[in-house]
Amino acid sequence: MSYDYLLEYLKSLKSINPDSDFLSRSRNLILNQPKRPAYVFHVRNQFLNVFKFSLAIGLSLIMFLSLSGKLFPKNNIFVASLNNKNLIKESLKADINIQLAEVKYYKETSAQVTWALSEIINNENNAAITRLLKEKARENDENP
Amino acid sequence: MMRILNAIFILFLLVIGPTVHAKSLKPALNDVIESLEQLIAIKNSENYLSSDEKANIEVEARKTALNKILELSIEEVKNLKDKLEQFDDFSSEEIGLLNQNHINALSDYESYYESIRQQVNQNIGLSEVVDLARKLKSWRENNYHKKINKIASFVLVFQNQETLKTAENRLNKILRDSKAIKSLVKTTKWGEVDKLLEVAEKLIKEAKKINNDAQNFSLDLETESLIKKATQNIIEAYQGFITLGKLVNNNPR
Repeated sequence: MSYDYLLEYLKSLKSINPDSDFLSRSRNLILNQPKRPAYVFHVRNQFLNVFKFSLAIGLSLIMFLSLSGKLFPKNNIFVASLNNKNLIKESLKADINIQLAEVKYYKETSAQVTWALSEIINNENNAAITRLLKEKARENDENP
Repeated sequence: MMRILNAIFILFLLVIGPTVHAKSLKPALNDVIESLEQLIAIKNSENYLSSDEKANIEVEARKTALNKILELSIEEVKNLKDKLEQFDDFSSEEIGLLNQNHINALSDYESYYESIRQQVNQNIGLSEVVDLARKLKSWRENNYHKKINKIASFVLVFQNQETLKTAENRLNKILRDSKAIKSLVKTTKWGEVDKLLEVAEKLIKEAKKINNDAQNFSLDLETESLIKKATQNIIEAYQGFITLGKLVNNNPR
């Protein structure tokens, strides 16, 4: 494509006009756009928006509190001995006891230390013992 | 929402609770493992070191491992001793004496470990280190293991006694409130209230009996299974209390 030809071609593009239907459709579309209300920036409405927001937050808070039992406590205050929180706390303490962690710990480390002492006593290398010890320690960490 | 929060709280405690007991012992146990790894690596090494040099390094590695074992053992003894020293309010003079005997035994073990530690840290050679390790191993197997397990079971029984006391206090408080409870619920539910209280009372009484049996250490009973049974009773009693609370909330007069 020569330079002159290109120039001519570009000049011819100047005379391009939009299709009349397209023109009217676009105009209607633009003119029918909903207008942005002028009062959006008005102080009164700003206040109203803040109020609406606070109301929403407030209602959520009330809902949260009543669900969690803080606002309208489910437990009757006249029966303090049946306070749910205390009951759960005390039964949990009992439940932890049942895990017998301490007794289990002493039984297991006794065996581990015996292996370790054998390794100090023996002259030959025994990598299997360390591997076992490591596995035991990992188990202890995972299931204390 | 509260239920979810409670569930999270329960989970959290269940996860961290059991680990708390032996928290101070974990680093000491890891040190033992680490020192053993080093010892084995040295035993394994076939490098430029002369046999004399290798022997020296190996002796040091054995001494370090032995020291770490002693540190762990001393920590264990101290941990149990601290617990025993906190116990009081024994059901009989005998049990109090037994507690004191355990404390004394643990003090003796601590001194024994310390004496071995002093010997290890002197200028000793391979054969002496090995001899000390052998001596310690046989002493642990013949004396220490059995006794330390017994003491750990003893600690367990007393910890459970505390739980039992709390449960008994709770039951008594609720029994004192039983009139108030009945005044709040429909009369048609009074039968259920009575039944729940009766069952919880029975469970706690039974737990107390089992715990007393477990305290009779001379019978050499299976302490762990007894404590497990007693604790299960206590938990069931608490489930009854929680059901009672729900009954009060759901059936107002």
